[in-house]
Amino acid sequence: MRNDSLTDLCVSKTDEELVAMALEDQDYFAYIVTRYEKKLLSYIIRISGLSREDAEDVLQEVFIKIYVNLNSFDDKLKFSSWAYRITHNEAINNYRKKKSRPQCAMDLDDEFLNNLASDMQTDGHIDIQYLKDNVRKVLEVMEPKYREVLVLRFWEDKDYGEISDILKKPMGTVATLLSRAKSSFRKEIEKQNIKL
Amino acid sequence: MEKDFSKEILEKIKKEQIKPKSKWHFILKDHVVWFVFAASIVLGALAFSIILHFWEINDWDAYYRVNENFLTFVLLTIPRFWIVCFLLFALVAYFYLKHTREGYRMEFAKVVVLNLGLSLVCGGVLYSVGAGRQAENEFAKRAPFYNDLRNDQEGIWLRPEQGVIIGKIMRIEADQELLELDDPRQITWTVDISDTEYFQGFVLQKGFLIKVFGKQGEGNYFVAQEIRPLLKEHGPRMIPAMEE
Repeated sequence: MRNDSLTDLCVSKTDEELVAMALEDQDYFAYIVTRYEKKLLSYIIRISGLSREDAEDVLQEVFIKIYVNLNSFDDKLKFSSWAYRITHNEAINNYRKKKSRPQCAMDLDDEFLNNLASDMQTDGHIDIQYLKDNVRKVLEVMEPKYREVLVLRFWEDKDYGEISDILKKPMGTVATLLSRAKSSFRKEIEKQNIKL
Repeated sequence: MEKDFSKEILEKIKKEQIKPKSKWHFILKDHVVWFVFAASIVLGALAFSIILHFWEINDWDAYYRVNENFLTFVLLTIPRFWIVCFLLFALVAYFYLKHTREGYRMEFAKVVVLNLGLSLVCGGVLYSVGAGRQAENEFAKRAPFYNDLRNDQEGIWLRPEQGVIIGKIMRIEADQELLELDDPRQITWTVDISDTEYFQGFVLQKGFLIKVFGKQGEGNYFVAQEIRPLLKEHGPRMIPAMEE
């Protein structure tokens, strides 16, 4: 990594500027990695349920792919959407290779649960611990495509446009997918007799 | 101690001399996708223009001659090969449009309407300038399997017991008002043309492929009531598979 003043300079740079700089000098790619490693690692764990160690292996492949394909980055997209797309595809490839259904190994945080609960129009009195215990159970049995979209919307806080760019699906499809995911979530809550 | 992930990645990149793929690689890829999409639209349009051409030259008014209901007649005479081609090209165009950089943003219905719309409009234009007929002729000349398919389809018009035969004129005996006709199964027919009508002033000539409506007599004797060219619009055009 370069010296502190350079690091400060890079912090103020946009993703797009860092991409251009990394194409000129590969050392700058380290700043992109630093900026996204935590977010993307969490995302991999959330959608695939891999252990941290396995998720880091996937993440390494993700960053190599990002680097190799830097010239294909289209600045009509947000860099984060593009990076999430590559991450999503790599995570899916990984569990296809292992031929295993992605597991839910989520460390559910309060923000996610609050976002989800408020969107589900609960009565407003939410016991977060109760939710944590039960939401995990519900997410575990949900289809991966529904879980992914819930994670992107309520955990990664992505809007419909960003989800559309990440999953490479039209906005209408994203809306449908999200609506079905919520409906499936509600049904599972009822089935498991969980009171929100 | 937490590991320095960015350092690890950078080391791997340097050690394995990994380089970003060039911009040209992606530009070329994008262009190939657009090119295949455009080619599929053009080929789909050409297939559609051929479908229109067949629609035009089909003997719709003679369906009752083959003793089928109209729906069966339509199913038997539509150019199935070209309809399959059209659908295939539409599918390829759909796939490639979805794989353009921003294609995923388009809703399914929009992509389908855009694809079909483009193919149908371009096909209509090609048909209006006669490209459908020309393309079909060229294809018939160059693709032997296609003539077999076409002959199979034209078999619907080879039903002597129902009053229709097709074939090539081998001999005309004008004084006796007879002609000799070889059908695609190599059966020779003697056709009585003493009391027949001719489609839009069609004039008989040796070697012409014709369609004869009438009544089967004893053996291979056929009394003609109406004679048309095998393919209405083409008149005397030869079908290579039936040529000597």
